[in-house]
Amino acid sequence: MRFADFLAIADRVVTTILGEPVSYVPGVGEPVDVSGVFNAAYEYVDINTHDGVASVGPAIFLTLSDLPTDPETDTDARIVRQAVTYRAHTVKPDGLGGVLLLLHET
Amino acid sequence: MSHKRQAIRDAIVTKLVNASTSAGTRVKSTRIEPIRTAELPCISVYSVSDQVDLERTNQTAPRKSWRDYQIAVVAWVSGSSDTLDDDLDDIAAQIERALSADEQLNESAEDLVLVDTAFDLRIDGARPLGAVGLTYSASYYTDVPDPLDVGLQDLKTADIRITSLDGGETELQQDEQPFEAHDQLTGLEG
Repeated sequence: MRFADFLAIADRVVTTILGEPVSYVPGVGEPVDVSGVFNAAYEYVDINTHDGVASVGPAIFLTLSDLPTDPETDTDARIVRQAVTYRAHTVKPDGLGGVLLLLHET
Repeated sequence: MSHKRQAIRDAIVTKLVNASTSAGTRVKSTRIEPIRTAELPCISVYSVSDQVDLERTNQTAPRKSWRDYQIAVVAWVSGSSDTLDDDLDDIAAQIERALSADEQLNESAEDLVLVDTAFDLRIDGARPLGAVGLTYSASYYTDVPDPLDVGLQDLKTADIRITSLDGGETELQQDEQPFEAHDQLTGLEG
């Protein structure tokens, strides 16, 4: 079995069992319910001053084949999770079918 | 007893709160702990450096230690990445207007001058963040020694000499005559 195939199986298990339902809203077209692994870990934002901002870095891992559009090219796509709408400011594909979206609240 | 720097910082904070900037009452003096996103937009006021002007100080008697106090006034804003620069410019303009209205800061300083403005933006965090840092220079002095610590001797005698000559470097105008006057005053301690 190739590694890519193995990883595809593993990602499917992770997103199905450990993920949660979110809505992927493409720039054009109808929203699609998908399963993704979301987290919003603490992030300290320092802007070269004596103080910084205690924030969080929301991100979600999705399987590309579940999505109606590619978030890397669909810059108007949104993610809706628990009534909060996000847009991806950074898209990090892993090259093997998965993608990590770094999110901003809109 | 508080230092004059504290009075200057407090005056800046008060003026910014009263100016009703985008930060409203969220103006803090000397922040160390991280700002919470719920507090944005907000303004931090803190010390950068305090340099003594030796040339000016050495011309005083009794001695006054003249200082060039650098203060940072940093405004933090979160919002859309498309308008963040505009938002930073807006709040910077509000700060400049508030502080230029009273450059003596309710007599806590001799003068206040804006010397630098720096911008920075960050994509990290839940929303785009921007900060604009305005560096001000406040002139003030402290008495050396402090009158509360050491009683200064009374002035008893003054020996005063006045001359129009400056060692011959200035050429006298036509019909101008050099003059010199001398007087001595005693019993000034009253």
